[in-house]
Amino acid sequence: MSDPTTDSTERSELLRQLRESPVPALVADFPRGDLGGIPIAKCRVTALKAAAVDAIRARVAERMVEAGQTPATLTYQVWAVLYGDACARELIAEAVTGCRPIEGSADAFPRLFITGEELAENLTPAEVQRLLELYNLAQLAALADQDDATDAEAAPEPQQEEHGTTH
Amino acid sequence: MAPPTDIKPSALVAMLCEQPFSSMVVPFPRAGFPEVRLRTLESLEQSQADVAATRAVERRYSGLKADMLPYLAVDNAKGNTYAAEILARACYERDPIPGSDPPEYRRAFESGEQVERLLTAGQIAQLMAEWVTVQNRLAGSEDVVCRSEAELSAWVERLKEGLRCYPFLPIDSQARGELACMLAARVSSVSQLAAESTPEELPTRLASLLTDWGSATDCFTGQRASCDPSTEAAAVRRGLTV
Repeated sequence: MSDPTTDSTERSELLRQLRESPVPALVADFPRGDLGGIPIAKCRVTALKAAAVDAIRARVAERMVEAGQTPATLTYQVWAVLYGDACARELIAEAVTGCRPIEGSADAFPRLFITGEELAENLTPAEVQRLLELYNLAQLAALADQDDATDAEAAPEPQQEEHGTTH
Repeated sequence: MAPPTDIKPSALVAMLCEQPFSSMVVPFPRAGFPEVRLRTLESLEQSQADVAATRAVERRYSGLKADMLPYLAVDNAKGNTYAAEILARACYERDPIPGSDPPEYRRAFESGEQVERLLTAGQIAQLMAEWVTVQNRLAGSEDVVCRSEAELSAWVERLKEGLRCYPFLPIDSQARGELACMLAARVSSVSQLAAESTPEELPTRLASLLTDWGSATDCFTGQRASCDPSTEAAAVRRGLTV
């Protein structure tokens, strides 16, 4: 079947809107009152773009190989659990930020956790689980009407939007 | 899979014959965004999407040994990428490019990589689910469409019913040409008979009919009508919009 597209120089309206629309995000209660002694009441959870999720998976896989954790050295089930947990922690570390933009920037938010390991060191498994639930809610907010989501916050698209990060 | 019951038989036939591709308009999985047109893909195009996704995953995991990839694929590492490649090929703007005839549509995305950069995993999953539905409805393979004799019969009955609105569609282009020539010859004979007769010699109804034909009879003395399938498809589309 021939490609019926003839005019590749003109971008589609959908593409324009996707580039200009804010990254879907939720503002929710942080699952504990503080982090390292600093009070934190609310956090901002951003629905990451698929490319960012893929990059996290690749990063985690490479790190595990470097650490000698492969399906050849562990049973597949054990490896899969470790891999899944590490991916979830990295994903939360990237998706969960503070609510106030970084000073001097309107669209970049400070990360609460730089790495997944740092997240695991500071939160209990139940708190990690709660943040994962919030991330799933943020994903749903990305599907639903932002006007209908009572706790949805529309924020301007960050410069590094293509990586889905809000550093 | 039984034929869809929420689409009229004639509309189903028109969708299956639609040019340049069979497609359906679906909502984009986020309110306020324009609807998109999802087209069916041929198996070659799906294979190309698979190859592109595999290469993208290999690039992404270039630091790993190849024996790790099957495990990562099991873990759905390739899932997003494959879906993104499929959507890049299947997702078009809802409306055709203004002035294009036959209609041409602009792609919604330029590449699978772009789909992954702009959509969340949830949005990709939802659009992919819509595409699977479109593909199964309009381009279902034998094993999907006809899992039983009853389903096969249901499809045949549904399409037979729909084809009644397009009596010329089942005829191949050569037969259509012959039919058109035969009809032209008959009209030409009648026109010639009329031309050689005075109005008084003709039955009143025939005289009236020939007056109506007036300009139409000219086309039979010119070149034969085009039997280009795309022209016919355009006629089918126009018929749909009536």
